[in-house]
Amino acid sequence: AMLREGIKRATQRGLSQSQLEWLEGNAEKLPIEDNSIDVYTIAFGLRNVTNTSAALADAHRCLKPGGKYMILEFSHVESEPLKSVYDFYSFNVIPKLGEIVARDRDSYQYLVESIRKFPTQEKLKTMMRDVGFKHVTHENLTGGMVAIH
Amino acid sequence: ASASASASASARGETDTRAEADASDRAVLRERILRAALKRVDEHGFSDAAVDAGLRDLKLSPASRANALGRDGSSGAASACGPGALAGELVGYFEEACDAAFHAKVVENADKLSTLNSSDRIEWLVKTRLEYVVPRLDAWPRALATMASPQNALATFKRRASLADDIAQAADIAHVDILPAELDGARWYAERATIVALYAAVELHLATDTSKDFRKTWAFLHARVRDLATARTSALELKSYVDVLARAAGLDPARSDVASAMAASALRAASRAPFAARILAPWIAGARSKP
Repeated sequence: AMLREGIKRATQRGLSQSQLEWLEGNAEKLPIEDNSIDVYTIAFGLRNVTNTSAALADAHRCLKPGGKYMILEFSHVESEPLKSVYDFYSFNVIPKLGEIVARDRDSYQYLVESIRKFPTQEKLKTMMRDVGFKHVTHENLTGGMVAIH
Repeated sequence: ASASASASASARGETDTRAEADASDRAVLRERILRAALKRVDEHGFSDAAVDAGLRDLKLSPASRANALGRDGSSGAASACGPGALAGELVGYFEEACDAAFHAKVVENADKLSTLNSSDRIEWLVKTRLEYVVPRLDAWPRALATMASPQNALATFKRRASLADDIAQAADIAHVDILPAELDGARWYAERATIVALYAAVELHLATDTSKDFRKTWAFLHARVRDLATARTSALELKSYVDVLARAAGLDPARSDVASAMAASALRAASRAPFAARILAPWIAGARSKP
């Protein structure tokens, strides 16, 4: 379903089928050769992979030496008072909205809990270095609600 | 509370050492890439293409281009890698290497330099530094254009100012010119500015010189250094002349010193005009004769 959505958006933007290749695979074990890609981006997907380290290791495998890995994901807000406001909003408002608008309180409860379970900015950088990445940096957006690694 | 404070302090310490390790990693990678790119300058000139060729030689992905700049990737580095940024970085790396080698050579030849008079010293210094450019002369006009571009101009200026300082100190001109203390500061800047101008003029001449062993350029250098010496001598003569007149007229000696020094500087400034014209003439002539 997501692939269909992706293909639809690409054709809307005028990209022909021949310019892009669409694959479905497991982020922990992608059907892509070793040392074959220049850039790997993953947006709001890493949190949903069961074994984060395995996904990072697989990214390292697929990328060429000198290639770039870029992760966009929800992350942790450290500084007050933003943290308290964000926590309050996450646990009290978002599930309620999910219940009212999407009639699915549980999914949104899962969402905010999984965000808290995801590694912090520094922890994720350490995990990336452990797997073999060099020059690991991160950039916080909106005080850390989202981060680019 | 104290346990968590020390934990976060040690975590910060760890991230500091991590940051240092990362920074030196980045510097090492930048060196590797630029050195590989320098080997490709003969084919591609000092350009982004040379850096790309260098990356290919190192078997690194082209996604690594920004690593040649050696910057922390965390703040919109993609925008910093505009066209010509890599070329500028490559030329800067080459110039810094030349400056370092030149500095070492000057130190090595300190004895020889002390036997020469200040004009000959300046001539030797400028010639020696420019000889480092000779092996890359084919690529040099484009390199000069890159260095002069807005995004690279500041870095170029800093490097050239530092080189001028090196040359001025080695040439030790300060002993020849005796000015009153008030104008000493201005003289320091005037010296460096003159050297930068002289170096740039000779460098331009070199870039378009087709004579054997660049005879014409070295003759040009010799003549310009003579010009400077003449201007200085006349300025000094004028200064002492004004000084004598002032004392004869009974003026306050301190004021007359300043007055004569000012007159000397004015004369030097006036003498720059023909100097500047002579610098530009061969370059313009050369540029005009090109197809």
